[in-house]
Amino acid sequence: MAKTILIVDDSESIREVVSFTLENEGFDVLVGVDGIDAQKFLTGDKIDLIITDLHMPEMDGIELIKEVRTRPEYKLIPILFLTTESQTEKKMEAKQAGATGWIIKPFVPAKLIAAINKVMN
Amino acid sequence: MMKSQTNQKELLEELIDVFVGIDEKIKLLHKDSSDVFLQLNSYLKDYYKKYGIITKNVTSIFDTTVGKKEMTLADEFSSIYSELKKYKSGTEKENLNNLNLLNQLNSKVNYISVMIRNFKQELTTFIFLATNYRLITNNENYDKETNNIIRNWENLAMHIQENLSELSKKFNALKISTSNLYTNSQAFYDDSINQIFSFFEDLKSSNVLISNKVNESSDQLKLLKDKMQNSKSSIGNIITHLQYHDIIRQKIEHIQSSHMKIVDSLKNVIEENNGDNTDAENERLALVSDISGLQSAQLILISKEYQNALEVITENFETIADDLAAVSSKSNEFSFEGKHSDTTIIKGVKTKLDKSLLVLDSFNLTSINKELSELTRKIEEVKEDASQNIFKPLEQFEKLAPKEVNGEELTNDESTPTNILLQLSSLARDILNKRDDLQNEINQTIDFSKAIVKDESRDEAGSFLEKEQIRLMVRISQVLERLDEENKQLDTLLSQNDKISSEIIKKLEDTINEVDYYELFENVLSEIIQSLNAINNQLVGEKQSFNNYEDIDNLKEIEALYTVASERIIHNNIIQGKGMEIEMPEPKSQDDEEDDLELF
Repeated sequence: MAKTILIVDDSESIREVVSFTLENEGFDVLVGVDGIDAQKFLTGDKIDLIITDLHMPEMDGIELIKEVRTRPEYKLIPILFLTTESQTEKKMEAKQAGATGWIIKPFVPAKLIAAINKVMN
Repeated sequence: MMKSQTNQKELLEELIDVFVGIDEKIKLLHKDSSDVFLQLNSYLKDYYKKYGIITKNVTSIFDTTVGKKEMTLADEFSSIYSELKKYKSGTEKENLNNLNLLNQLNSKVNYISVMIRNFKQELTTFIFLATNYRLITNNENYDKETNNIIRNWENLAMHIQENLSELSKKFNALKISTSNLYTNSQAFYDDSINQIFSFFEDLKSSNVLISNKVNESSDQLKLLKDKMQNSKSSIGNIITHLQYHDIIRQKIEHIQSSHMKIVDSLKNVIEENNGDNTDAENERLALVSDISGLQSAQLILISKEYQNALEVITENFETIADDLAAVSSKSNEFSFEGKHSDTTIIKGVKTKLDKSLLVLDSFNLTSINKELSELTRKIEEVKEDASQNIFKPLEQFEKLAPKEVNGEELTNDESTPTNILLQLSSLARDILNKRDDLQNEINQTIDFSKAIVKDESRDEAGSFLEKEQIRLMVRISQVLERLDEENKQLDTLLSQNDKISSEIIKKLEDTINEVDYYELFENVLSEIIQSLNAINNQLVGEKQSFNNYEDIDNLKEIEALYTVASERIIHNNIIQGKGMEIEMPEPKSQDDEEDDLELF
């Protein structure tokens, strides 16, 4: 059965390329445009991984992670940041909020897939 | 030198107008660059779809041409070829055997004809003697009864002789039939074997061609695999560089945000001070100057990034188009018999097998065997005729032998009736012996002819070769059915690949046309940069009269907006006075070591 990945990004082009990359690798993809929008998928249904941007309107990636980690069914799922940000302080903040990893845009598809497989296994 | 109040206000308003104008242009750029990237994104999906179809088609073309099914075409063909080889040698053997048997049958029929002629000769002598006896004894001195018996005997002999003439005619006809059958069979076998030999050579060449293609396929597949891998890597590069849309968007948004701050700030200065020269105003103008310079530098990098991203994307689209067209063309070429041939291997093999089926069908052993059966039937008919008209009357002929002759001996006078009777009696014995010989010979000939028609392997379904022929024809028909299906599939795949290749070339033109938009982007960007530089230059002149200039602290607020590392690098370069020339960061390679990925 295909694994489900929720991607959250306010950029349409990023949502497009990430979905394209993941779907071509056989993943089922859910798409949220920001932290608030992404919460509509946190219904208890199985999500195997979340990939989120950091800077987003309405609710940013750090807040989203904090929200996800409050929910018992998603407490342990891996969450990767996919962002243009590379500042160490931001990474530390994300780590403390419960992020599993940090990928800087622009990503290389093969490496993104390798990282996804690594954290999901 | 201090400017007048009016001039100062005009300057501020002029700056606001310039920033508002720049903002409008930036909005336009933002929208249009988004459209370009999203369009390229949709092209990528289309290319990927075509990449998927061509990859699948190429695999199918190879599988169909050299086979990856339960039984490959090469194996199938090789098996048919070896079965045909066996069939060919069996046919040649049977041909020789049948011709030999027909020859023997012909000799036997000839021999029977000679026997019949001799038999008739004996009967003529018998009739002559009987007539002679009757003439000598036709007076009162001789027994009337014996004379009558001899008359009956003579009549019977004459009757048999007439029947023998009829039988002789029938055997002559049989002789002609046997001879014709021999000639026809020889011609038929010669012709058929020549044809079998001819298509056999054709099939042999196809077999060699298929074997060569199988050997060639591993090299070709490696080449095609490399091309497809190359395309995959190009797709990866495109995906990586399409993300510059988001990076550029963020940078433009940061510039827009800082412009809004500047415009608001300048409006506040006008409202609060009504254009009076104050320190606050000077600070604001100094800030405007710094930000303008800084943003010029940011926009130059954006321009370079945009240009670089589009160049990489275009180059990779071109690579994909080239690779896919090469893959399509190579796989198409592979499926054809030769470089300049317009016949696919499948079609060539199919045509040859079609021909072999026709040849096998024309090689009608059933018809030859039917003719042989017909000959046997005729021989049986003649035997029945001989039995009714020759051998049955001869039984009567045997019974009519006069009893008075028994115990008598030949005298010196041969013309005496007793002597004639004795001679008749002796001749009758010879005739009866010849009858037995003729009967045996006819029976043997029938058995022999039956043996030709019915070999040991023959049953209701025919001889071994006939059954083999039918089995081969069924097998070839099944292969032909498969080839027919595969030929249709191959034609569809080849034409689909051709169509997709053309579409890719067309799509590439569209892609390049989209990227041509870069010139417009560059021009607008250049205008914006010029405007910003003009502001910067103008205010650098003004700045000399300003006091309390705090160039770095005023920019902290701007720095806080940054979300991309390169923005911060430029920012630091500018405030450290390193100039506006920025080195482009190295583009990301698909094979670089992990440096942008960190797992906690």
